[in-house]
Amino acid sequence: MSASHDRRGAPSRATPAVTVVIPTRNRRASLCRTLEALARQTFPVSDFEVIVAADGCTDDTAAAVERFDAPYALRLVQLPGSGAATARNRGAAEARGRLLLFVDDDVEPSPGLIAAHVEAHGRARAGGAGVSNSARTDVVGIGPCLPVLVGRVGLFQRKLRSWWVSEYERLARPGHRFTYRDVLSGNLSIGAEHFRRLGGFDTAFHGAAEDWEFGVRLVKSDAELVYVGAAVAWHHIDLGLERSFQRTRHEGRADVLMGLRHPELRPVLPLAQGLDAHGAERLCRMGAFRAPVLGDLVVKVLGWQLRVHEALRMRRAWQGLSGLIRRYWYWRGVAEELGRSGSGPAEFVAAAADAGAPEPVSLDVDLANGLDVAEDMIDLVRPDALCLYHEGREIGELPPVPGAERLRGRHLRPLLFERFGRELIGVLAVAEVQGRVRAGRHPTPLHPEEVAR
Amino acid sequence: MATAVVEVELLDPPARIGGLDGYAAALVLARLGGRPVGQATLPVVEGSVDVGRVHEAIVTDSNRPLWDRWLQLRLGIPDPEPAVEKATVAVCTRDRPDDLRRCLDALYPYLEAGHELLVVDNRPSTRETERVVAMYDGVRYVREDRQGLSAAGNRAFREASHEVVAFADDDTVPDPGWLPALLRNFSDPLVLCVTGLTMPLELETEAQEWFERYSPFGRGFERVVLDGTQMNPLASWRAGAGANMAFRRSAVDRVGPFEEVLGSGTPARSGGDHEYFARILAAGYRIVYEPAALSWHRHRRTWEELRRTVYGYGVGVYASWTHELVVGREFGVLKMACGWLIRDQLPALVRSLLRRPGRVPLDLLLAELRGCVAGPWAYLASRRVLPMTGGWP
Repeated sequence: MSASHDRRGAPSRATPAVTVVIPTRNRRASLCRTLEALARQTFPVSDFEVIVAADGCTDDTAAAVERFDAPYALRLVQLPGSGAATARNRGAAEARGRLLLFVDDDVEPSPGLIAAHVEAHGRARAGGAGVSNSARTDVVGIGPCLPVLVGRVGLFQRKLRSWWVSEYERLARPGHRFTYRDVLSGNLSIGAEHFRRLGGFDTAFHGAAEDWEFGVRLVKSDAELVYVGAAVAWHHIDLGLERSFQRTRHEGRADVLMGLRHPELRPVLPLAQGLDAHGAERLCRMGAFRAPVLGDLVVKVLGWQLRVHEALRMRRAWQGLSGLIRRYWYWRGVAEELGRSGSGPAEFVAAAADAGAPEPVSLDVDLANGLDVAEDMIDLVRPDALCLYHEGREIGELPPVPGAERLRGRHLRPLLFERFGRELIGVLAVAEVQGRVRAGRHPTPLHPEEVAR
Repeated sequence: MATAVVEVELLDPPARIGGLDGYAAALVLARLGGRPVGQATLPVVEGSVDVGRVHEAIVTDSNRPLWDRWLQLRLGIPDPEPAVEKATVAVCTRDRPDDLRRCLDALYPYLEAGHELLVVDNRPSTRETERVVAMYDGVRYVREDRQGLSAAGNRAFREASHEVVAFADDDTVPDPGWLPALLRNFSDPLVLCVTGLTMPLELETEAQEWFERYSPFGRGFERVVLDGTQMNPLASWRAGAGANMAFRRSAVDRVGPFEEVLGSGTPARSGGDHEYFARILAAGYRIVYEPAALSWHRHRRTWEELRRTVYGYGVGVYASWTHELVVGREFGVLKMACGWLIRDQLPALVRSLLRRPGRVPLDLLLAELRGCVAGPWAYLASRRVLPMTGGWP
């Protein structure tokens, strides 16, 4: 039921280096903005093609793409409304480029976006600084989609913008350890062969978390996830609070699916948090599972209350209440999906114990041998968990994190700073200060050679 | 007797800090690897301070900024690169040529490093400022005849050649690392403003000592990111002081310019900076307090000047709160005003009346309270004579 159509005839090169895949549904104006931004790329237009996967469009998206005067090869694929995952897979199947670049239809690429992704893959393949020592073909580039608010701007939209920016800030930190939740398909590049090898996006996920599910498989296959900070795109967000609650409901459903596909993740999914909570949180969950009709009515009334809070600038009350309503909708989604299997969330999470996941690899590291040695060792073993020591004295333990990439040497220093700072100071500094004071030396505990070491 | 202001680098400290004859005490600023990490006021004995005492006071288990910095150096984690390479440094001034000269001396190396230096002369009564600026080759001079520090700041935004505009008060002496430390924090696109640590340049008179005790500009040694979506935006005093701050120029497009009804040089006397901080936060953006961006401020020397300044702060706080209430419909200011009165002002007044040790001089407290009472009226007076420029998100 789909049609493929090349509106510019044969492109100048038989195989373009990059194929940009844009799934879209009824967002003609926004899509045209994306297509226009792609026409302003610093990357040569003859070296990339663009495939628009129009999925169930009832506006004039197809006609607009037909009319669009693109300097690059532009193709249109039409689908009957099969979901974003299917649309992306279909676009990828039609792609001729060696590198796939997924861009959402509400995302406006900066002029250097394609070049930055291509460069990141080249650098990683060549084993450049900070990436890897061996040549790799399983690199995945994640670019930032910096939020731009359009439409009504209120407390919710501002919070959402802040959340997105913090997410990318986290990814940008040197030595960030990626998890499946860092894989976001709005601005994502991956080798076409690699994508096919992994089987593409899981089409059972309808419009929520299909990128995270793909992320789980990427992490399991030990792909090289790279944050491409220079591949900036602007994400034009036009989302109201009500619609966002319905998205949260979809996320609840998607999390159950995720737990079914990857049982080892169940303990870290949001549905595993707060299962023994009392009060409002428990009420939310019970309402969603046992009395959804009443629950829907109550949160509708509370939704009006939210507007009052916002009008009176009662920010804290607004935050508490909107968080509660969001939790309700999340549980509603979970209940809808779990209801089919007849089990409750507690049983669902507990059933992960016999999931049969491979035994995590743990590594003992003594920091007294030097940080460089420790980093090399971690790169060699690629453990899931760490036990840290200094001259045999335990500093701390880093347990395995389901859904997180195996540890690399570059994770160590930020990890020590952020997670084990207090313990390290206790072990290193205090021992050194006391040693020097006892030896009757200079009273300073902070000596340049030690710091330079 | 006066208090000396001295610095010590903990990586390479002298055994004693000498040459302090004539001082009873010293305010010691401790650095580690160049970064300010703590301060202590210690007695001066025979003209010097024992560094061992500095250690006792600053190298404590609970000094988190110190140990964070130590660990950063020890683990070899580099500082982030400045996200912005070039900036405009603006000094808004009015009839203070001597202070300005000292400030420009400190800032001039930035001009040589390729940044822009801009002096905005606000309604000058003489041409002395223009003559001072002419002595510094390459420094731009702009005269702004609209009244008030906020109007001068807005002029700086319009005149600046770069996206980031750092403001230094004319009575400050920025540290050599000041500007790079401010600029490091602009990599986050939601950060519209970065403020720095302001320490006293001198504590030679009782008035200066009391200013530092009662109304210090510093907000500690820990870097803080204030996110307007995570906190009460009206608590903008946490951001620091207008004597040492930098903005993205695009803040003007996103949240509007400085509110010209408020600030020094208007009937509202002060508060333009804190209202702007609050507006940035209320619009959901971020402000970073970066203590590595160190600047030294010359506090007012005479008691009369101090009392006027404290009165002006009282007026400014209540004027900006009135603005936030009237224009921004921020009813939370009523709660804040009550909180300040009940938790801080009244207890201080009682302690002062009972002549308890460590009390704040009564005339300062009364000056502040009189300022608070006058604030709302001053705001209305300001609105009558000046156009409103800022608005509220």
